[in-house]
Amino acid sequence: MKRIILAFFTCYVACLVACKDNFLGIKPDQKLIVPQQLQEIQALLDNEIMYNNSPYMAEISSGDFWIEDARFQSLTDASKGAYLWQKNIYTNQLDYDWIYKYKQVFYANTALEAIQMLPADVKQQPLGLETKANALFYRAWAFFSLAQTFCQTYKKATSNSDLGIPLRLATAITQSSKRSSVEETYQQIINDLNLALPGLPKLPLKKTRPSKAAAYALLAKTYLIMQNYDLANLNAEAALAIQSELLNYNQINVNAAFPFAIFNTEVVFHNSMVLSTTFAQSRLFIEPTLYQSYHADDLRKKLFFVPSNNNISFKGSYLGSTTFFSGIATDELWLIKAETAIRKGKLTDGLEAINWLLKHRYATGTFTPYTGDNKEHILAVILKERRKELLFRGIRWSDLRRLNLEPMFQESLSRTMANVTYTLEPNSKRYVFPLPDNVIIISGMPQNER
Amino acid sequence: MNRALLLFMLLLASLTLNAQILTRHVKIMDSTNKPIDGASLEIGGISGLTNTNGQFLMPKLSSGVYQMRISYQGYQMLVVKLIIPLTSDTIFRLNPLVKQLNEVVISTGYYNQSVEKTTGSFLQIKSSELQRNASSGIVQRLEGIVPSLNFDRRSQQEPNGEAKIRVRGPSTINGEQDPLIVLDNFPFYGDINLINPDQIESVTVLKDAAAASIWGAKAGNGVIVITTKQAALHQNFKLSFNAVGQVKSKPNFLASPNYISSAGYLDIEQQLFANNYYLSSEQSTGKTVLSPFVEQLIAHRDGLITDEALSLAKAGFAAIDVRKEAMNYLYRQASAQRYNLNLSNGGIKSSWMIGLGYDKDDLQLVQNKSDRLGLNMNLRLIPINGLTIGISSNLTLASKQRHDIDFNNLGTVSSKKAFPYTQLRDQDGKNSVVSRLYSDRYKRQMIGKVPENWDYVPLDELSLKQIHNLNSNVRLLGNINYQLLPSLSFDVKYQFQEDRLEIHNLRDRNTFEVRNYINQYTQANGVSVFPVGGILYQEYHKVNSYNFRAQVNYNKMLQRHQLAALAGYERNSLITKMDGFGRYGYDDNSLTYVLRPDLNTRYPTYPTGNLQLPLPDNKLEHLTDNYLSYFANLSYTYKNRYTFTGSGRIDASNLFGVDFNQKSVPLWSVGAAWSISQEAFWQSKAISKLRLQATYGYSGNIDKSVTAFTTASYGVNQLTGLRFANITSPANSNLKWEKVATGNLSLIAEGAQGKWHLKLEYFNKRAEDLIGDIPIDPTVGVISGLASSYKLNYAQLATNGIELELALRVIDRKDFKWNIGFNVASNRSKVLAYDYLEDGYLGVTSGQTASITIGKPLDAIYSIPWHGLDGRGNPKVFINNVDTTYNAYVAQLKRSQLVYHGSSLPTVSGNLVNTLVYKRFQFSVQALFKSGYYFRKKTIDYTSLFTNQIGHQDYNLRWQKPGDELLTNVPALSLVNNTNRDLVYVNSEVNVLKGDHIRLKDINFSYLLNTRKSKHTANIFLNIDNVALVWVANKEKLDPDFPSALYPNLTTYSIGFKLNL
Repeated sequence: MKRIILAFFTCYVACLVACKDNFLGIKPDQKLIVPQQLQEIQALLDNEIMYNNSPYMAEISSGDFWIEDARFQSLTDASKGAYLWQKNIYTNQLDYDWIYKYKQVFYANTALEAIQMLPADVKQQPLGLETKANALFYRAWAFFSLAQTFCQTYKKATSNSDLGIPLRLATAITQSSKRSSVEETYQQIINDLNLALPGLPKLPLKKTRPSKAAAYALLAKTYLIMQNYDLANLNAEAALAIQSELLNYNQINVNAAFPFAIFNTEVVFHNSMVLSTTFAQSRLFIEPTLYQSYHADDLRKKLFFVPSNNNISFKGSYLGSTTFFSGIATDELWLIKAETAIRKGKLTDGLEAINWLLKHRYATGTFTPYTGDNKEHILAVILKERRKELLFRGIRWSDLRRLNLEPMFQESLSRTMANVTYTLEPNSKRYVFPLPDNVIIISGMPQNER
Repeated sequence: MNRALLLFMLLLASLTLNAQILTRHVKIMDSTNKPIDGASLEIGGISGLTNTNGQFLMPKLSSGVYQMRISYQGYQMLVVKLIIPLTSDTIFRLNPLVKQLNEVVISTGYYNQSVEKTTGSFLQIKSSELQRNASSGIVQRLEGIVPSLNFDRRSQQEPNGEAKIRVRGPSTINGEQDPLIVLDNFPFYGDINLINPDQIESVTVLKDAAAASIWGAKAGNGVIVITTKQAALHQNFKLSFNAVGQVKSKPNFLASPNYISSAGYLDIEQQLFANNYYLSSEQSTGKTVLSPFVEQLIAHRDGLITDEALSLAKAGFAAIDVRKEAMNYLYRQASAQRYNLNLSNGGIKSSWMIGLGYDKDDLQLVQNKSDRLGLNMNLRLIPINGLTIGISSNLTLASKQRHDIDFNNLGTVSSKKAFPYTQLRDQDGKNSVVSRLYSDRYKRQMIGKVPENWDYVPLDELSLKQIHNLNSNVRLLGNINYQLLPSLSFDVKYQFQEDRLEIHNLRDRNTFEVRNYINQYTQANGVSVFPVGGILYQEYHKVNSYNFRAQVNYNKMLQRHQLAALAGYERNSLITKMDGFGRYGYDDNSLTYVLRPDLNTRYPTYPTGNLQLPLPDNKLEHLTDNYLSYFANLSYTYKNRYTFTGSGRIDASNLFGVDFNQKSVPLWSVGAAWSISQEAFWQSKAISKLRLQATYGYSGNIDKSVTAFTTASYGVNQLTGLRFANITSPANSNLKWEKVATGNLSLIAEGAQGKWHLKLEYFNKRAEDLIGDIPIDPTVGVISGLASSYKLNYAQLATNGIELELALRVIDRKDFKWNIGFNVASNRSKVLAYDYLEDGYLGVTSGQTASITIGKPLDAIYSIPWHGLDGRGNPKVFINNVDTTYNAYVAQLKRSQLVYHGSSLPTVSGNLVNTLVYKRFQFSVQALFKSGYYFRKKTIDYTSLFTNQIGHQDYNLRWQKPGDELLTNVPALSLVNNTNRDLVYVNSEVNVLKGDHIRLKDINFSYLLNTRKSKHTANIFLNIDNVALVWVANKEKLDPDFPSALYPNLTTYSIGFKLNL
């Protein structure tokens, strides 16, 4: 009897101990994935971090709007600082502009490293190439956005010595951050985009994903800031060759609370800005001179603006909500084409582009096309139209910075708060935002002078 | 196998054949030579009882050597060898278990052993001690009686809410904080409140490594072993029954300092209004809700009402007190009934026990109630000699019905508090409308444009918003023990547990939530696109655990040597599944709902914006927690004087991946004990027992949020419809268990005849490889929430303390007894390694918790230095002795400038229990004290007051006129939001107070209805729990244990009846 029981015990226990099933290999959480497959890697790139929360502090500093004294008081300290171009703007507050964009870089790098681990045949298949191209584009987009806020604008003469942003090209947590030069920053953006181009589809499945059109467009934006007008023009043309359609504003309902639909036909690449309380319709009032500069027949006057608290506020976001659109749309491409053509001396091309755009903006039959042969004059007109078309898209700040390099386009911004007037002089050091304090403390990188 | 079976058959046959052998008796006597009646004997598979003369007629057995077991309740079991046939009658004497009256047998979940054979720190709580208070949860009953258990309710708004428990101070920083709960040999993962305390036989707290290391990687936070009542052999039929009725005091909001009077608040609103504070809200496109009085002020400004009407309205509001409203219409005295019945019987070969418990609670919020029904059954069988089979099944069904309309849910949105003059029911007995979500002006304008009434009436919601929780827990446990040799036994245990929770959350079609959605999504044509009907959300949780354990036990006694060893293998699996889904347009009568709501289209909404329909709540989860463990334990005692113990355990888990498991190291412990009083030289009569114990060892812990690989989880983006992945944890290839090394020294002494008993212990815990956040450069891009940090095993924490247990029998006469129990436990923690930004100030002074600082306790509390108020009632702040702005001051604040107070959790706590017995009366009183800690009191924070209606009585003490700065620290009312001005005061040193206090925890009175001599007893008892705070160190008389509570702790009165047959 003893033996029977003993044998039974032994068999049972031995069986259980010996059963080396996958007991310890089971995922602790069924939802967890270790990104290894292309679909999983693409899922990382479809995270909203890749197309939401682009920098907003520079938009506050841009000067297209004003805030009443009473409403100013309820802003965050960082927003107050940015609004009045203060020296110190972060008082114990997190800098969303920095962390969101570097989080995007981390996602892109995680994807790139995961692709690197795949077998060669998987990497080379179209989906593999596309996924990699997507990651490269998103990284370039993040670096581009960061460069507009955290380093000086591109100046050929000093770009090798001006401080750029840290270019993190790997996920390694232990790797310390170092600041590159402005030249290296822009070269990295261009390299990533050129590498991405072959793998990208002409048009994307969803506008949150990059495409060839978007990559050419971003190259055009980049070269425009680098004042390389030839390449800016070339890339704008290349992008327009794929996607050029404009919305006819005559067909948009002016009475709608938010007239423009999300993912509308003009959108080349969807992106949204951090939604700051500063931008609430009840707070943000359009600079009166800017509002006055729209012609009565210009439909943008009704589609972009809305009366709010006895003033004028903004409703023209291409996201169809209070959140600002900060992606790329065809109107910007037409404007880049127009500006660069004029700068290159191709006045007819330039005028044709700007007139084509404005034809879609004015009430049918009311628009008188621009003509003339004075290059400076036409350029000034185009730049004025550029400001009127692209407001609250995170573009104005970059434009101010690059145009301040040309004495004839220099502008001095001023704002008044509690009877004190604050001014931002052209080429001021305040045109570069400081790096967040904790970044400086931990990494030891040099801070921007401000 | 077949041969064995054949042999067995032959053996049986031979038994019946050997008939005609002379029969002999064995006689069983006690040590005083009195025959024992009813002793049970067992030989060769046959058993029986002795007769009144202590005699037992030997059964007819074939010749050979047999083993005979003789047992009788209260006596040591005797195992003897007999040669059959017996040549003469034989007498055996049984030794009484004199010592057993004092002997404590502890249970670790792996073995039961006399405390004398162990070296570790165990604390056993008997079921009688668990009766000190009559709460429904086992955890609440431990509160107070075990000083080394700290119950942390610093952030609880309900003083009787769930507490975080720590055994002997902290052992981890970011890992799991809770001690391991073991119920009947296996870890318990269900809702602890499902365990009926009346069904519990004993609770053992395993405090040091020698006690807890056998639980390995889960024992780092200490182990609480709960053993339910079990069937015992050799026991007469027993019945015990008890019934308890319970009433709790009503939550007294009037006694809470977190309040501002209606009149005071109305004045502030009037001033803010004059200052245009509400202007942007009034004009907002979002139609921000404003208070009823501000709406009156607007109407007055716009000439819609007269001055008189305004002051009349103001006087009307001033007469309302939301606290009284809530107490009158929302809260009540909670009451409960508890019944428990236990039946048991034990024979020689089998025993059984049945326990049945029922509880019914009417909770303190009106209409909220819960009940619990539990059935425990266990059975022990000895089918053949040496083989014991145990089967037990436990079933618990619990339900809870609640609405979520409480004091915190009367504000304009769920995150805000009610206006002090919020009314719930008017003079005519009509339920009042409370402003919510959008301004009353806007709602009036919209009448006729939207289909639904837009009013929020909290008291109407009570019956419309019902949440039912149905919980069931099934535990089935099988246990087979086989005694192969007298010294060697095998043990196999298997437990299956299933815990199910079903949440049925129905918001009726007429709830504010549904009406609001309908209105919000109303289109220009006046028709809403929001599905009309109720909103049903159902959630199903299922937790299954499968535990298997095989164990070999070896026990040998050789004159002076006693050896007890065990080794085993264990396999545990815990699978948690959760599924939750919401439905729109639900109709409870026909079970119909909108099958395909259009969640993609964006609709214009009132009052502003374009929105998709809100996504119905949905959840889906599937977690698996697998463990494999090998364990061993050894105890050796020489001459009853010297005991040595050792234990070891290796754990492997699916959390880490295969690589880690291969290099896992054992967690182990060693211990030694010396019973000095057993030595020949020990002559002292005054001290009858003296024992020294020392142990050292390791146990483990884990932070489940960290994984070895880059892991991500999926979701589906609403906007794009694409599947996306979220990185939940970046790769961490160096991940491992957290380890806690504990050293423990104890001294145990006892006076003659147990007149006094003393245990003095010192422990030193050193937690290593703790997972800690390392702040990293945000540029790296590893961001969870908004913080840039990374988790690594690098932090270290040390905790040490002294514990004293003292029991005194002051008077011990036949009719009058007076016993005193006095327990003190101290613990001091110190962070040894942790990485943080030296200059970082964020979070150091907010709330009750603090950032971690090396060299300070884990729960350090800091504050901002206070320099008093200036001549205008503003807090003074300086940078380098120069006046500055609040923003600049706060921006430059560094950790080193802050005032360090001490720990925010008690470092010393203890109790004093006095028990008096006079004839049939028993009276017992327990006082608790806690000391050596600080808490941050709440005070007036103007920003919170203006934006969230969070008031505080300190408002009445504020600076009002020059000169007040000499008398008060409360800043003057400032009509502009200035967060940093508030922060400088609220978090200043003047608001950190000493936590020391003495509390009268409970009073117990019982009366025995029959005489003490009778075997059957019946008594009635009365007990009062949470009687009062007797003394507090802080002048404000605030209860330091509940700094965040909405009302003072509730007193519980219980009256009950107990019967034992």
